[in-house]
Amino acid sequence: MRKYAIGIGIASAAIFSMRCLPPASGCTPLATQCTGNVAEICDSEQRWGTYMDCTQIAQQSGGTWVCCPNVDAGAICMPNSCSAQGGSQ
Amino acid sequence: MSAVPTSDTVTEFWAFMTGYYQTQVIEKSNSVAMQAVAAFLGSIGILDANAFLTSYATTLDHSIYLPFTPGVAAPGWDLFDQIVVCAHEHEHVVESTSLGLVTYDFRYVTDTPSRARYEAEAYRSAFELSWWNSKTVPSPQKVANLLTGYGCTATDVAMAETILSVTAKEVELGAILNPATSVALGWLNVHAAYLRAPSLSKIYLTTKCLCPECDMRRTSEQYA
Repeated sequence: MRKYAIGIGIASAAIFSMRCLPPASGCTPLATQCTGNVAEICDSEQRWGTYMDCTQIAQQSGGTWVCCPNVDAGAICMPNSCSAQGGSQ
Repeated sequence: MSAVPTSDTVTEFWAFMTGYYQTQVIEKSNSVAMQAVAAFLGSIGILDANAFLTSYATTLDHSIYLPFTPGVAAPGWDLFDQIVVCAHEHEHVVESTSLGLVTYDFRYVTDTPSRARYEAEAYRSAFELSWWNSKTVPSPQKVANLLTGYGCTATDVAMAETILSVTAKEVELGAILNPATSVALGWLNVHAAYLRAPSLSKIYLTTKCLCPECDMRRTSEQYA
């Protein structure tokens, strides 16, 4: 009986977790974008997912960090502004 | 030539991090649970069972299963690697605390894009700590390719490479991305400054985590 209850619990958690996955948006895999001050990447299931939170970087690194789309490899958090000269070194 | 940590530094660093995040270290080879996980991962094709037990550290909730003893150099696990692994595994603790353990673990096991993203995020610690130690960063491509050993698809690996390429640029600009690295650098800057590369940016010299009591409060508020 206990095993049965544990099984139901695990199955419920699994179903709940599946529902929590973001829906497919039809984006192109590996495309990147800025949404607000967050950098997102499109995965192989065509879902957008966050990979950089520029506000969190600012909290940990100090200063102001802003999300800049389409810089070399993809959307990136840069210090101060989206100018390549905006480094804080 | 970058500085190499002493055994005592590594042992004390692990003690600090496990105390900070309320985690425990368990020897992987002696864990019945890990042997079961190894068999399971092997059966569904995520990882070879023996490789899982000997070549990977694993974090489940607040338990960190290690194939080495912190502070004791071993083949494949030099002392600086052990510092990096500590930050990496504690970043997984931050991820699972933020998302919720059940959701995080389920996505990690069943959804390869999620797994690739969680691992890429944790591997950012290697970029941050390498920069702090030697002002160099690993090759994003080489690190991303490690994910083929996690059962990730070619597109997942390419996604991880993109994330890590952006990470490399941000770290070179002075960013500290991972909360666990921020905590780690707070301790390392005070207790192991001899490991730090000369002429680092101010950000890497003065992280905000110099007060464990304050930061425990901040972390619990942040992830409540």
